[in-house]
Amino acid sequence: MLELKAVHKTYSSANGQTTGAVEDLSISIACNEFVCLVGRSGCGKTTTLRMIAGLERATRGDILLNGTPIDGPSAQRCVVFQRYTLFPWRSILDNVAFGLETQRIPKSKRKEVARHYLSVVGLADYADAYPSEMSGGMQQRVAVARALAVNPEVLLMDEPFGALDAQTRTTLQNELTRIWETERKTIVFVTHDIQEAVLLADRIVVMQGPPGRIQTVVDCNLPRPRDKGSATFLQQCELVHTLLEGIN
Amino acid sequence: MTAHLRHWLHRLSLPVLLAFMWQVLALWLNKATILPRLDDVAVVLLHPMAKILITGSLWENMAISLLRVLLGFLAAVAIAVPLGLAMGHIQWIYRIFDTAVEMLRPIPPLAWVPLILAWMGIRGLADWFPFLGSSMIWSSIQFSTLAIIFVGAFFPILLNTIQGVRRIPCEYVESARTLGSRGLHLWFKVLIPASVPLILTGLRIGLGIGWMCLVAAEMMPGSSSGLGYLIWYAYELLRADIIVAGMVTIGLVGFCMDRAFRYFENLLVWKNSM
Repeated sequence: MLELKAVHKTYSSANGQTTGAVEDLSISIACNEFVCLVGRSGCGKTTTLRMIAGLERATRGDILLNGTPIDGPSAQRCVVFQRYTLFPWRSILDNVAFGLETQRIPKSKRKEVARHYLSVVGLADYADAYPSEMSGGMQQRVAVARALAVNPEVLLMDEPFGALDAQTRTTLQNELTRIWETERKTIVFVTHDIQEAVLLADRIVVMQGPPGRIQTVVDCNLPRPRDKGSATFLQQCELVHTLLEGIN
Repeated sequence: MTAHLRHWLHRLSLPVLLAFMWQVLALWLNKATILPRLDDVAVVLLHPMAKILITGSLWENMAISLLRVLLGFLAAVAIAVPLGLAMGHIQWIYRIFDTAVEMLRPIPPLAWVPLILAWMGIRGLADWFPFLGSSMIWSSIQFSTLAIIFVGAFFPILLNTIQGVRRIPCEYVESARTLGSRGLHLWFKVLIPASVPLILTGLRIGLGIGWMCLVAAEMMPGSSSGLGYLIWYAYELLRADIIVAGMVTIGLVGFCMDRAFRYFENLLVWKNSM
């Protein structure tokens, strides 16, 4: 279980002024739950994700994973970023195997695991290719495979499909749902796309800010696979939309 | 006309024109001590193994110069690259060294000559490191010469290495860290490979500047070989043809080193995809 307890984050600028990025954030995320953080830009959703990742420290409050406070980044909490972050000097297979190198796993086993996750994202044939030879959508799939390969407890995704075209994005959303259903991971997914949140999440955390606060948490119980055209789907989107708009 | 032919016409027309004007002027002036005829220069260049005056041949002088630059350059690499990596990634190390680096950097390598001579004198490497034995080569390479080349090559390598590390997109490092990479793994698998393209650029520029410092370094008292020495020696004997031949050789060698480095840089196909 991932718990945020009264988490605050303030940044202090050089002239001594402090600005609040996140204020009094509390939420519990269950194992294997898919949670989306939505909100307009600057509402602190990325900051929240980065604090869970351990890339930034909370100014006050606690973030606990299975009861243990988070102290710095680790492979337990892997991040997939919006910008393409594959290492261009490594082949696709070696990119996926990257995280395994830091765990004491023999080389042949690493390759085997990497191949497995490449096939999970449907790119088994591209093991020997290099990132520069791949489209953005393919690169993000590899990034997902690279994160899954280290078997993290929590997968953190910061608008991972934000830079992709609409069609590719839809494909990857469906794939992510499928992967999540088979791999069973806790996923915290940041997006500003309401449809995306409703399509993916078990729960949607609607944030407002700055400084970032949780406005509401919406349960999203539609059966999967979800149909973007169905009436209930659109209703759910409408609801989240109204909540977001209501902030103004 | 094919594009290929036009390409080379554009590239060669100006050098050919300049050489032609030079030759015409030289023939008209008829003063070999001021403006040597190009065919005289060519004679020197085309016989690289021939003994020039009482110094060695053009070839020998070039080899000793190359060895000097290489040694000074390698010493600069050995210090500038690790220091640059550390300064690029670790803030407090950067703060400690930055002011000193920025103050020393604008000093031209030539300005170091008197001080370096005062410190190190004109003794050869063989005197400093007796284990090298007393072979001619080591005793003709002076520590002070290497120091000047070192100063010339050091700063471009250092600054490019720092930039190389600093320009790594932070998402690379953050991804790596959330994949469990830290310490040596982060250094050797992410930070260093990601900065290799700019480090190579720094090495190329550093080697070029080191080569340019060579003449100054070989002008110093106690020198008795090398292309820089050859030029000065020829000047004292009023042999402009040898001066020009020496200059052409310096230019050609510098050009070849630069091209070789660019070739290696281009082998790193991924450098533009960052």
